[in-house]
Order: sequence, then C-alpha cells, then structure tokens
Amino acid sequence: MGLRQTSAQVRATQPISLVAPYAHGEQTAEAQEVRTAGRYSEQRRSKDGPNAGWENHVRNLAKPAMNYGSLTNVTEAERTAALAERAARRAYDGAPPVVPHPISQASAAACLACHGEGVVVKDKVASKISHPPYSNCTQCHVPASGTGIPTIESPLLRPVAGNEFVGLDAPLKGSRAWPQAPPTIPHSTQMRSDCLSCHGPQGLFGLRTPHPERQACVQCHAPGAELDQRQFFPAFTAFGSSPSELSIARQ
Amino acid sequence: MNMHRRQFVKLSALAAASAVAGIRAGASTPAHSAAVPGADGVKWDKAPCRFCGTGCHVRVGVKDGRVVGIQGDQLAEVNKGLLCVKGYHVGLALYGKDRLTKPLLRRNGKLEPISWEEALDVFARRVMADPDRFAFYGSGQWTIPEGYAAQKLMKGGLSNNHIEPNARLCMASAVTGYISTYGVDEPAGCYDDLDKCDVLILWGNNMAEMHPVLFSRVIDRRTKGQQVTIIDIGTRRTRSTEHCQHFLEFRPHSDLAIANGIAHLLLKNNTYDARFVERFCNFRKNTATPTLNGEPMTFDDYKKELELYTPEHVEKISGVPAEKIRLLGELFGRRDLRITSVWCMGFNQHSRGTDINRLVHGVHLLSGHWGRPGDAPTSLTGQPSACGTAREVGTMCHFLPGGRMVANPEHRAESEAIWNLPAGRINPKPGHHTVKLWEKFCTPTDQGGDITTVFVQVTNPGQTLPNLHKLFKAKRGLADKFLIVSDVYPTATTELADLVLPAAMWVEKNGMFGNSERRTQQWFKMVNPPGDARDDCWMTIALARRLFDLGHPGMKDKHGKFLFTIKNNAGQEVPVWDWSHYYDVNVDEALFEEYRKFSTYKHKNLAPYTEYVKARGLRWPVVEQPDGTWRETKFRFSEFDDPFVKKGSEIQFYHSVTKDDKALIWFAPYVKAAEEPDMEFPFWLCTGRVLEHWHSGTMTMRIPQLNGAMPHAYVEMHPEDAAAAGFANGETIVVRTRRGELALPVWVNGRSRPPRGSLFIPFFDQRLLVNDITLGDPDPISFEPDYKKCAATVGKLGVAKTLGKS
Repeated sequence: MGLRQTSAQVRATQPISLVAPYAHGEQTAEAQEVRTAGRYSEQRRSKDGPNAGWENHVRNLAKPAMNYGSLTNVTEAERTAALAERAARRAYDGAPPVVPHPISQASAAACLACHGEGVVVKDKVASKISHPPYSNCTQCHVPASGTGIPTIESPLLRPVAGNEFVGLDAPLKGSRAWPQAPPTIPHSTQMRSDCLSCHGPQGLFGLRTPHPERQACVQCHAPGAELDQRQFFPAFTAFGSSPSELSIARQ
Repeated sequence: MNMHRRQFVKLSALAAASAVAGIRAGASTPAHSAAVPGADGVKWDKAPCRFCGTGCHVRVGVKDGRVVGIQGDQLAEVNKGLLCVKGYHVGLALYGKDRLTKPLLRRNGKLEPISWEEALDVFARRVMADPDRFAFYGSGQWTIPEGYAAQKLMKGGLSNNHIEPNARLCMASAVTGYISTYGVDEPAGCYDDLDKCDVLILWGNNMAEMHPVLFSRVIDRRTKGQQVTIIDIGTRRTRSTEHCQHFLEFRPHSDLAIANGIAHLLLKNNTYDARFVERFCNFRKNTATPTLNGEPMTFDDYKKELELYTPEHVEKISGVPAEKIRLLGELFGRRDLRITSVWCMGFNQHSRGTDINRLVHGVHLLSGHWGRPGDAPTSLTGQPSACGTAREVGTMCHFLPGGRMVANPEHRAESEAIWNLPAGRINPKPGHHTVKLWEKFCTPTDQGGDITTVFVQVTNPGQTLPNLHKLFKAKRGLADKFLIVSDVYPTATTELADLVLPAAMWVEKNGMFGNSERRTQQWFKMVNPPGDARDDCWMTIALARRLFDLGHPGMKDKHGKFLFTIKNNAGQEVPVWDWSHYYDVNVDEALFEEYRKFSTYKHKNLAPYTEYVKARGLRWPVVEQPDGTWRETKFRFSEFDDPFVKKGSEIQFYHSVTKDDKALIWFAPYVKAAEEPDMEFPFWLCTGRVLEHWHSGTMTMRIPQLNGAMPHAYVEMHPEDAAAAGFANGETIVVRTRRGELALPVWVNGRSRPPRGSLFIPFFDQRLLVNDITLGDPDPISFEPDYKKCAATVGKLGVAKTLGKS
C-alpha cells in the first residue's frame, strides 16, 4: 500500500488494530498491518515512503490568501509551461492523467478525501475532481510509478519495450471573434462539469481564470460542438451518405 | 485580428506543442516530438475498443497516418462516452517499439527475416503435405470476418475440424450453460439490465477491474440518487467488494452449494415463482457421465435433491454464514425486486463450469427473476469478439456457423449449400478441443500426436494455456512439429514458433467484433500497419490461394471456383489473395454478407454490413421493419421485445431443448475440486487479471501508462500467512505446485485481500508465467480448464524445504 517496508521493519512490527477498515465489519482488524509510527522529531529527516519530499514544517505551510485583484491574463510562456506540466501526466490531450503519487490500491475511497474539494498545501495541489458523477477513480487514473509493492526485483521493473506513440497536444487557445471577445473553449468538455478544477485558483498558474468570481463559465465561453462530439462526420451518423458509398473500402 | 498577431499565435502554438510533446508521458524520444504540430487536422472515426468483451466504442483520432488520441464515444450505448484506463490508452497498443514487421523463419534455431512469398510457400507446402494433421488456433480476438474465413478454410476447404479459439479457455462453459438451459447460446438480457436492476450479484466476478465501464454504469447510478444493492460472492476481497453492501466470502468451488442453497430456500419458503415454473420450465439433471443434455427429472425429484442444501449445510461447505445464504434466498424470493446476476471467469474456468452456469440460470428461472428488464442471468466475456466470432461464427471444433453442429448431417448440408460445396465435403467428426489439440501437438507423432502443424492467430497460447510444461513447452525438441504464429509483438508463443507472420492490428485493418450483449460492431481501417505487417484475414485467404495453386481439391467449390471468390461493385473478381489488391474491395463486407446467411437458423439475425457502418453496434436478432429500417433486440424470448416470440405467450424459449418452448432448470450437486489444499500443498492458488493489463499483456505491457501502474506480476497472500512464513512485503518468494514452481514478489495488504490459506497470481506477466504451475482440470462437458483452483505451497527463495501451514 505504498509503505516501503523492509524485512527488518516488518519483523519489528506487530499487527495492530486500526479502525475496522470496512463499515460492515467483514474483515478482522488484524488483517491490517501497518508500520509503527516514528517519532515526530524524526519525521523531518525521514525521507522514505510516499511522503518523501513532503514539506511539513508548519511555518512553511501557510497559504497565501487568494488575491483576486492581482490575477491578470497569463502570458504565453506561462500558459505553455502549464500545458507542458499537464502533458507530462497524459499520453495525449484528453487522456486521463496518471496519478503522480502512490495510492490506496484496495479502494478509491481515499481519493476524494483530497480531490473531492481540492487541497493546496504549499506548492502541492490536489486538484478538485472535474467530473464528480464518476466515482470509480482507479478505473481511469492509475499511479505513474508502480503498485507500491516494495519489490527490489529491478529486472521486473524494466519496461517490456518502449513505445513510439506520439499523442495529440493540447490546443493552445480558443478563438476570439474580435480581440476582446471571450474566447471559445478549445478543448472537449465531455463529461467534465467543473471548469474551476483546472481554471480555478487551485489550477496550474498558466491556466487560471483571471475572474474566478464569475461562476457561469459557458455563459461567455462557448464549447465546441465538434470537440464535444455533438457533431459527427456525415459518414458515421444515421443520416449519412448512401450505403454504396459507405461500403467502399478505404485504404 | 491583424496578421502579425495571427502569425505570432501560430508560431507560439508550434513551439509550445513541440515543447509539450518532448516531455509527454510515454513519448519515447524527442525525435518524434514534432510529429504532431497541433490539434487541427485530426480526423476522428469510430471503433470498438480492442480489449475486453464489454464492447465500448472509442473515437480514434488520426493525424498524418498515426493514431494520436482516443475519446470515449458518447453515441455508444455501451459506454456512453466513458472508458477505462486500458481503453483510453488503446491507441498506444499499436506503437510498441518491437512490433513485428517482417515474416521470420527459424533456421538453425534462429528466427531470420524472409519475404511473404517465401513464408506463404513454406506454410502452404507444410499444410499440403499433411492437411489432416494441420490445426488452426485463433481466439475471441479474431474479427468476425477473420474467424469466418478461418472456419471456411478449415471445415469447408480442408474438411478438417481442428479449428479452435482460445475462447475454449474462456467461455466454453458459459456456452454449454446457455445451450443446455435454453437450447441456444448467449445471454437473453443485455447491459440495459444494469440500469434497471435493484440487486446486482457478482458471482466470483471482480467487475471493478475486469469490466470497469459496466461496473461504473451500476455504481454511478448511486451518485444519481438511485438505490442499488450490490452483493459480491467471491473468494477474496477485491476493489469490487468496496462498493458492495454484502460480501459472501466462500471456499473455492463451493459456489455450487451456494446456488443450491438459494434454490432450497425458494422451495422451502414457497417463495419460488410457481406460475413461471409451471408455464416456462422443465427440470434436468446430469447423467452418470455428464453430457450436454443430461436426463429429465420431475419437480418432486428436484425438490428432493435440494433438501440437503439447508443454509447450515451450505455454511459448512462454503464457509458463508447461514444468515447470508438466507439473505440471498429472501432476495430471490421477492417479486418486487429486479435481480441481475453477472459472472465471468470465476464460473467458466471451473471444473464444474457448465453446472455452475446452469445452477444460476436455474435460480433465476425458479424465482421468476427472468425476462423483465433488470431481471437477468448474464455471463460477461473477456475478449472483444468471443461472442461475435468464437460463439456465433462457431470457430470451435464441433460447431458450424450460426449455432450449427459438425455432427449434425442437416447442419453440414446447409453449410455446404451456403458455401456452394459438393455434398459430403464437411467432415462429420468434431476435431480436437483446445487442450487436446495442444496435447496432441506436444506429443511425438509416432506416439499418437496427430497434430503436426498449428497456425496460431491473434492469441498467445504459450502464456495462456494451463500447465504450460505439458501443453506447450513440450513442443521444444520435437523435430516434426511446426508452429506458425501470426502476431503483432514477440510473445511467449513466438519463442517456440518456426514461422512468425507479422500482423496488422485493430484500426490497421477493417474489422467487426461481437460483444457480451449480442452487439455486432464494425470499424474501418484508419492507419497502415508497420513494415510488412498484414491482415490476418488476408493471410488465411492467401494461404487458401496457395493451396488452390498447389492443387488442393478442397479449395474449390462445387463449380470449381476458388473458395474466397470476391467481387467488386462492378461484378469483377478481385484477386484479394494478392496483398496489393486486398483493399481494392471491402473483403470484410463480402465475407460478412455471406456469413449473414447462416445467422437466421438460430434467430440470431444479422443486418446488412452497411447498417453496422452507421451504428455503434446492433444487438441481434436485428430484424428488418416494414419501413426498411433495421431493429435490434434487447431482451430475447420476452414478448415485449423479441419479434420471434409468439404473441400472447409472454415468454417463449423458441429453441427449447425439450421442444416445448420451456427452459430447463438443472440440478447439480456440490462436488470437490480436482485438487484441494492438503498438508503438502496447503494453499489454494487462484489466477486472474488486473485492471491495467489485458490478458497476456502483449499489448498493455508495452503501454507506458499501464506498465507504469502495474509493472510486474506478484503473489497476493494474507498478512498472517506471510508472517507465519516469515515473508516481508515485496520479498521474492517461491510458489510451488505439483507441476512446477515460480519465484515472484509477495504483496501483502495489496489491491485485493485473499483470505488465509489462499494465494492469487495474475497471469499477464510473460516473465512470471503462472500457467507453468496451474492445473487446468477441465469441465467434463465444455472441456474448459479450471485456472482458479489448484493446491500450492510457498517457500523462501533459495530454501529447499517447503513451508506449509502445519
């Protein structure tokens, strides 16, 4: 479960009871085996496990208050940087991003603890879920770096072979009818209902809206019918070309 | 907008795109980064997903001859725009670095590139030399036209019935379950049941990982405020269990007793649906030697047989508390609920697979939870066209297309008529089923091994057969055995191949699949295959043409014409065996239109090819309406939806085994598994799949996002068992069975939680072949092996002594 245990650590650890893991109490608490917690004084120096690199000095955690007034249109460079960061976790634009941290393998329930409303702790952002009706998180989002099995079998971790797929890139901008017009939405909004997940104050800097106080996004920003699959190539709709044209094999 | 600004935007877009692509997850080298300059110019087209049997439709984005993106298809009723992580990354399956691009022939132990001409020549001469000892082994990943061509070549051309799909290892018991219950194969219900049911029962089925899109279809109803009770009847806790109100953890193989326990309670409490049973059901049991159709029994005998299965007795066998059995009995006894049961490999890969399939159909029939939307017993399939190709085209050793049987003279005559063959061309004797076929191939010819050449398409038996040492690896060193493998990547099977043929895959070719809910789907070729890779269907036709040229008489119909004579719209014959002309005409359409003639016999009517071009799949029977449109059928045998049901009959099983429009409720007793844990081998060993990898991992192990999430196989065990054996989490241990041993990392408190005395190993990892040690005890009726149960022990790596529980 993401706990990078060594044999020595496991031997030194007695199974202890936590909260019963399942509401209807099917499984005994002994089934849950965890590491003994270290002392608080040691925590800053302990750089192992999923929290390696985690900044937990209280003084550094203070979050600057959101100053709506200071937000302005982002620059091309900032937008590019944000898109690059976004792309690093996606095979192509529109692919579900991989999870950049270890997860609970057994259940998706823990995901929403942070991603339900979104959390910002210093420079770490757990973005808010953009599609709350879908609750089986791990169906689409898988961890980027392994199961968390603390295996040392390095040959097994080597990929079988490389892959030469090159994914579609994110569109840079929507179109504007005139320079000051609200831009259209340049990407699919399929199944996503919360724009502020990416464009809100917790979003990547280059993608943030300069006016998060306005909540009705599509009042001004038009989604694209083709991007959202509301328009289809004639050949693939029920109202398409004649059957003889359709049946011609295509090279 | 002035020109300067426009240009600036365009240039920055290009620069940004290159920068982005350079660090994209999964992009192999920056050299490819400039290949896709932006979103414009991407052409989107529809296709069913390449992976499982759910049959989601995806939209495939193609630019400059390459797949660049995937979207869930919102027009698709199956998935309504949603996919799973495999589906979202299916486009990457085409671009693994080690795609096979040239035919390879083994010379002096080494695979060396040869031309297609040479390859076909070697192949055809090998078959020509001994056509009766040739076998064709495919899968539920054959497209419908591919399977149909293979079927016609073997049974219609070579008079040879040694053709099998790997589906024998996958859903053969579901087939025998359906046929022996309803007289005809495949589910009567469909995925719409998942939207309507009040109770969903997962029988040994980890739907959250194996059919995630369908699972979400159910659990997302809860986010919409609907109530649905989900019950997991399983042998270990899985991700699915997390979403269930009830978890019934049972001792492997005792599902037989649980199903009987439900029937017992329905009878004892008098809550069975007497009207339904009276009108629509007869009773059956197995003969001493189990057969497909067994022998009749009376309702009273049926009751008597079930008397034994009290909740307390079932508890003793299964370990499931009696009150949970009562819970199931009460639910099935309620008329006001709609109950859907789903299952997959837990039932089918079961040495009493046919029986457990029958029993659950029986529970639904007995309780009348049958035939209304939301009331259905439904098997799910694991391959994209297990139903469409293996079951409907009938690419099995005993089937002819459209639900016909090799052993039936009328069926042979009908098939010969459609294929325009001389009477008697089709061999009346069924061929070898999968396990026997490989056993014969791995047996020296002079010791009765009567299969000498096998052609494998679209599957990986070197990894997926059970007990691999016996059924596959024993081929090594048998000089007169010749293995021909068509695949897209090197696999455990190509390792032993003598001839390797590079194949086109998925949207590199035209295709049609048939999913778990009788939905036939179509797609067009969108990109070219790499190098010299070619379509599997072409390989079959090209082989047939070589045999024709070499003078094999079976390659001609009764008028002397080549078996695969295909004409274009102008009526001219197209030499489709010549690769340069293969796409001059739509071969898929030609083959499908011929195959369609077979579909009406079992009322599995298919629409013309062009209807499927327009649709995101159609569920058969698809029947033409007076206005010329084609209507699909969601609920078979139910009067309100199935056009073949006689008006006023409510439900009519019109292919009834007993010829009286009634289905059969079967009794089958609980019996022990073939190999159960003992002192020497104290653990149950179960195998299966994981969310990220599809079957043997040939495609998904080459997709960085999927491989990254699940890089290797493991053995899951209970923490107390691990502690008792002194294993640390992640330590490499040895799992041993009577057939061999396997060293792999142990995962404690991982994704799933097996109970004490139970192990689980996924089979996707070619480097850690669990099938080296599985037993594969076959079901006596379907001949499908059991991969879910055998006895094992565990030990420290490098320690000779086995560590049992004693």
